[in-house]
Amino acid sequence: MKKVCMMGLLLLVSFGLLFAQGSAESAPAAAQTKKPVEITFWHAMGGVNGEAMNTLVTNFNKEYDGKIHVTYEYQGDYDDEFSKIQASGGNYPCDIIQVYDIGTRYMIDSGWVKPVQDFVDKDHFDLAQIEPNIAAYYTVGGKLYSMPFNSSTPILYYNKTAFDEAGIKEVPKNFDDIIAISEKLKQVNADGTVKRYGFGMGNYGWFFEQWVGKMGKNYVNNNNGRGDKPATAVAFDSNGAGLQIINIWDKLLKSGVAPYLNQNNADAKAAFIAGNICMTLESTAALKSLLNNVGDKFEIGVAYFPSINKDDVGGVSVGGGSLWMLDTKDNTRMDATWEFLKYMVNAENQAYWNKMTGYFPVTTKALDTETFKENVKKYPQFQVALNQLHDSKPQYAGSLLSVFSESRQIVQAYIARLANKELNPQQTLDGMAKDINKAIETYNKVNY
Amino acid sequence: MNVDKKRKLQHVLIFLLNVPLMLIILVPLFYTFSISVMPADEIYQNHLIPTSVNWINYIQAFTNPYYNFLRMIFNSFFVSIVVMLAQMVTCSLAAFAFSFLEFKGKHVLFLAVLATMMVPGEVTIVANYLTMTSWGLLDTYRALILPYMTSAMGIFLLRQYYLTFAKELYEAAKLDGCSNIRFLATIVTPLSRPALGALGAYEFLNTWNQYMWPLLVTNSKNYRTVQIGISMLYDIDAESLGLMMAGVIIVIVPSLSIFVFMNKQLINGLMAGAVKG
Amino acid sequence: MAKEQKAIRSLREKTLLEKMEPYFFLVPSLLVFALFLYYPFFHTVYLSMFLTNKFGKPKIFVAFTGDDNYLALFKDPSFWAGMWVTFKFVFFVAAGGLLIGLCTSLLTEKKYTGSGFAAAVYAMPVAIASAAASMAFKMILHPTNGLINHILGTQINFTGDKRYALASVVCMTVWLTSGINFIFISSGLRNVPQELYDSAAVDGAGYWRRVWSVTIPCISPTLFFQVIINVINGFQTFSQIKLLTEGGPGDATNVMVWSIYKDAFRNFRFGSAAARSVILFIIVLIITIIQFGYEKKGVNY
Repeated sequence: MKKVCMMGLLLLVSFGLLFAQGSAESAPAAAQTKKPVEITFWHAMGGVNGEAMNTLVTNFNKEYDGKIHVTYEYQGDYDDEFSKIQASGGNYPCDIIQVYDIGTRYMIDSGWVKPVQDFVDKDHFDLAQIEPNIAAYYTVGGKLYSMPFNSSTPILYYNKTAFDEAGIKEVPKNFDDIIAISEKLKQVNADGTVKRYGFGMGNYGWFFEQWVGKMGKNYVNNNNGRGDKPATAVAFDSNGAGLQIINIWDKLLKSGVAPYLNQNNADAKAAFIAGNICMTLESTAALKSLLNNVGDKFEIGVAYFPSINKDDVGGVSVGGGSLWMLDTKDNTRMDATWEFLKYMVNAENQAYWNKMTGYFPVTTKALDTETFKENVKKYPQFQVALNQLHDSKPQYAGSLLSVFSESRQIVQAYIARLANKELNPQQTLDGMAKDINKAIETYNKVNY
Repeated sequence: MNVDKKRKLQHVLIFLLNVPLMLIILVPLFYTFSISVMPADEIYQNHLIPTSVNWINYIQAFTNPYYNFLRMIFNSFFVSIVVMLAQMVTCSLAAFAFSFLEFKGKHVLFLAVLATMMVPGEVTIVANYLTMTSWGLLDTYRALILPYMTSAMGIFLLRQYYLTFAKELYEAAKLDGCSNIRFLATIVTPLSRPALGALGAYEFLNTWNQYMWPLLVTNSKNYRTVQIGISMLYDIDAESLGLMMAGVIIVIVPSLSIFVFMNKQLINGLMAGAVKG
Repeated sequence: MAKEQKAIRSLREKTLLEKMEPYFFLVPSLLVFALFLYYPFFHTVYLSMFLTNKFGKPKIFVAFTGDDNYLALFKDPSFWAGMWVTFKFVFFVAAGGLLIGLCTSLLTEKKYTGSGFAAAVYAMPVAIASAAASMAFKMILHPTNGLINHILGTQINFTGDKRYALASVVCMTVWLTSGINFIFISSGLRNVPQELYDSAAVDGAGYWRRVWSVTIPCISPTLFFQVIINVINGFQTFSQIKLLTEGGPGDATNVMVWSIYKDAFRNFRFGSAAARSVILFIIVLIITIIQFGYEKKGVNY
């Protein structure tokens, strides 16, 4: 009997706490004549990026104390955050949300967002201060939908120390160069296992898309998904880009130039840091963490993202994420959101963001700040990435596709099968095209 | 004397047999800890034992106000304990019905209960999230607790355990005029300490280890739980593996202590002479 | 007098209250299930009959038509490959977990110096969340500088080579679930009456004979329970797949819950995901019913 009483009491207390907590939440705040506008910001930045985000928002709240208050909440990684907004977007759970690049088409089509362009026009915001090649990505039909915030491009990282030791002076520009250099860099152990490869990269769909852009070709049809009508099929099969990329993969693996380092970039990064591969492809956003993790072991060099063929003409496009304003229909909150967006992209803040994380400053004026100049002096690698961005053109802005997440997966899945010798290059290409087209078709049937 | 020596030798041998298995379990855990205290540039060099120990990751995780681990640990504790207690009660009740009582539809209902274990989580998670939203319960402890106040596994476990009780025990109690609920509370439950302990520990840890559900239904710092905290330490681009592993270790410690505590209760309960009739 | 009356009543027909009483015991649990499991599940069955738009709203009713979600799955070789992978995965994880749990439980059954410590070690994996463990194992299984490759002196790509991917995920999952297997089987072992052991010893039975004839039959309810749990949990394994292999390479680790997640959250095809879920549910249900069929045969109470 005592035991039951005890248990019952314990449960009662717990429930009491539960509901006490509940009522505490709804206790009205002290009456103020002027309350700050409360807006909510969902983001997906963790680790040191999250800490930098924390600093920026805290500073904003200090500066706008009493006027605007931003509550920012981490919502998991990009994928988890996207799942959450998918499930709840229609309820407008927040005012601003950071979404990754491949979610762009989805967000535009969702009907939940207020295009940033509306505020740009209203406020006479000088759009030219945003890097044109970055803004181009988030612009459709002349309208800028979201505010770019954390943008990156892919670059080639190389082990400069190893290059010097092997007497390599020229930085590779395309895969012919890479394969040629790798011969000099490869080191094999006595028992036949490879101690060090010249090159290695993760099986990452983003790279595939970037190569198509570097050839100046389209990933999908209908003006790369940016036309009046959304894309209905892939274009990389018919324009030949796809097969060329797959052939390079095949060559790298078959010739033993590179090991297969699995999907996404975690394993490739680890291999580079450990010195097992001398060259790798990664986002500019990884520069800071690579520098931290490599330390004094070797010097990191940075070069433009290599093209597939020597004579490819094109450019890279951005990845990363941007900030979307939800159309909450509450003008006070949306105005406050706009203030916050402007703050996040001002020169000083973007320089700080770049310094702490390695993402590009999206604002051109940030390049003039002391913060940025000092950072670049210390880490000249940042400058290379920036040059690459400036050398690209808005027309290579990259494709927009509703089923981007799926198509990236499909590309990666087929490359994995190529790597496991299940398919030959032509089969890989055909499989990719078929599956992605089917996905697009199904999506368009129910969503347009 | 010889018998003693033989016994001691046997004990040593048995302990030695344990060693390979223990190593398999311990090495990944130890490696996780190692990574969390290694200097950053050593992480990718395959060292099992760090050359130098640096606690900076732990200091970061605890002192940086962005992470708020202490609050998250409290939240996880609170939610896990309430869920554990609630399940002990609801599962005992249901299991009792399924093992001691006879009623129409018993087998079908039991299967229906078991069936809930077979519904893939991904299916229920979005629907439940929308339910919570429509009830206005987002960002509350209730959202974290309500869907987990019972568990089919708990009912199943206890039912199996109750079935091992001699039927005579129940019949004798009934003849004595004992009501069902009284029988359950005063006789069955004290005798079920091992099973209840195992269930409690398991469900506590299950709740402690939840990630996706708390991520969906909580937004603010006040209600976030520890697994979300760990994921906050990691970013695909910033890749702070050491920091994240520090988070993993921080979070294992409380969960391990609860488990050890529950285990002790179990053993004490047995020693106190809770011998089955 | 009252006591006898009550006793007499228990021999007579039950009153309405007494008939309803068992159901009262079930109400708390059934209520929770109804709200948070049955309702979503029926909603899922409903969704599986439609092509859904990207918000998960049913758009086109396709059940029993050429575009039927179920039909599309049955025609997809990847679906069948995934099912086969799932069965293999579940089998090895369930069996492996049980075996390890049994070994570790038997090893720490008796008290001796260090047995407490060993028991604590064996139970530890329950305290580590699958996502956290996956991150650690990602490092351990790295193709060029992972711990395992370092120890073995090889360069095996555990998660990217289709020959090793499934085995790697299985081993990692067995490692993770060894803790819970240990806890439950141990608690079952504690209930074996000492008298049975004593009489077996008197009969001159050796250790293994004793384990086979006394221990295992006595803990058969626990083992039965553990097998069911392992199988059901095996079917639900998700974090490791997401973090280590993403279902790859190809279909090598494409377990069914991963396909469900992919369809729902990456491909925005809730209708198809719903159909997969229903199929998975039916499969697990059938397997569990079969297992309960064996309960009569092998399990002693």
